[in-house]
Amino acid sequence: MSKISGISRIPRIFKNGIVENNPLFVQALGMCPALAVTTSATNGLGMGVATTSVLVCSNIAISLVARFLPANVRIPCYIVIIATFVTMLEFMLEAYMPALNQALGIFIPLIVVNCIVMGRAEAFANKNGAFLSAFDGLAMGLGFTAALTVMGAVREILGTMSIFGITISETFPQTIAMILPPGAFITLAFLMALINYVRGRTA
Amino acid sequence: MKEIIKSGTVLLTVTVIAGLCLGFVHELTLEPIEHQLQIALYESMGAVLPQAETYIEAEDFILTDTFFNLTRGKVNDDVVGYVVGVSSSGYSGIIDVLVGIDTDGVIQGISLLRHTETPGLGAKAALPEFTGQFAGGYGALRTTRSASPSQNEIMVITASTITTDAIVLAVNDALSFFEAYLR
Repeated sequence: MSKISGISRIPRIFKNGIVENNPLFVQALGMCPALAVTTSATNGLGMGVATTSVLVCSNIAISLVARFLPANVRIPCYIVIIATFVTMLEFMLEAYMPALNQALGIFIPLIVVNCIVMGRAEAFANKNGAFLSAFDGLAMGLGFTAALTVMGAVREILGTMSIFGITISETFPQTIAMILPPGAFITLAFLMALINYVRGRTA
Repeated sequence: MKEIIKSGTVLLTVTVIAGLCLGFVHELTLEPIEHQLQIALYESMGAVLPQAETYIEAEDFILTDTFFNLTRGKVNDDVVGYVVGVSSSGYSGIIDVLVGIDTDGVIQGISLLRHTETPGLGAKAALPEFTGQFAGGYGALRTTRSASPSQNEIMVITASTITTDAIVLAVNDALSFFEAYLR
């Protein structure tokens, strides 16, 4: 019975995670990896997928054990669970996707303290069942991935005249600052403004 | 008191289970990771010292953090060159450079094994446009901003002088090592 009403929440969950409450552009979470890793569309996509896999796993795990955790130690327990999944992700990347591992570098272990993961644990996973929590993790992860990929694409196109490693133009000037930190901040700011403008108009 | 014991027990349980899961996955991926590193290493060796047919790690030298690899390249039983692995500090982290040197001390090629330089800037050092410049060099190399560098000059990557210098330093270290111990 509760599963039926649960399933009907799924479309709402996806709309929430990807558009209305986009973790990066609306909630302003996970900005550190967003600024640092989006030097290319591929890197943004890779980081988004990595974070999504951790989000889904940790949401499921935390929703299953939340009721057994006393309130005063729940946060340390969440961190241990999240850190375990991130470390497992690291091992898997090192073993089977070394190129992506190299590209993302230190930002993979930093997924542990990505506020999106902890945020969803506190806001959703510890109050809902594993089934819905998995979808919430997926939705937020997809929203984050989309945001990072778009940021990476903008910076890569303007900065190196290529997208996903494929050169677009040899002659059009490259704005190298776009792939450096200033470009990160500017791109994030403009994209955030754009998203909020669109949200404002349709609200 | 009871609360403390309960909290402690819960934390202990969570961390023990986490540890077990991690240990399991670690064991699982130990071999593939080793495998990946070996593949990357041997591919690079073939690229920087193509004339060799077999690559034998040198047992008679002690490796350090800076000189992390020394391999003899052989055809049948004759040594045709050496592969020296040197680390140096780049713009955003350590760069591991593999240098192929033949028995006359001439660089056959270089390859970046590991680096975390900025894509589009320092990362361009990993491309053949840059690494290709080193082949044929000997003695000691210098950087230059000239667009037509001579044999022992390496053209600096625009806006990535630190990366360029780090790699040239590593290669010069490899050459000095060759002069001191291998010639």
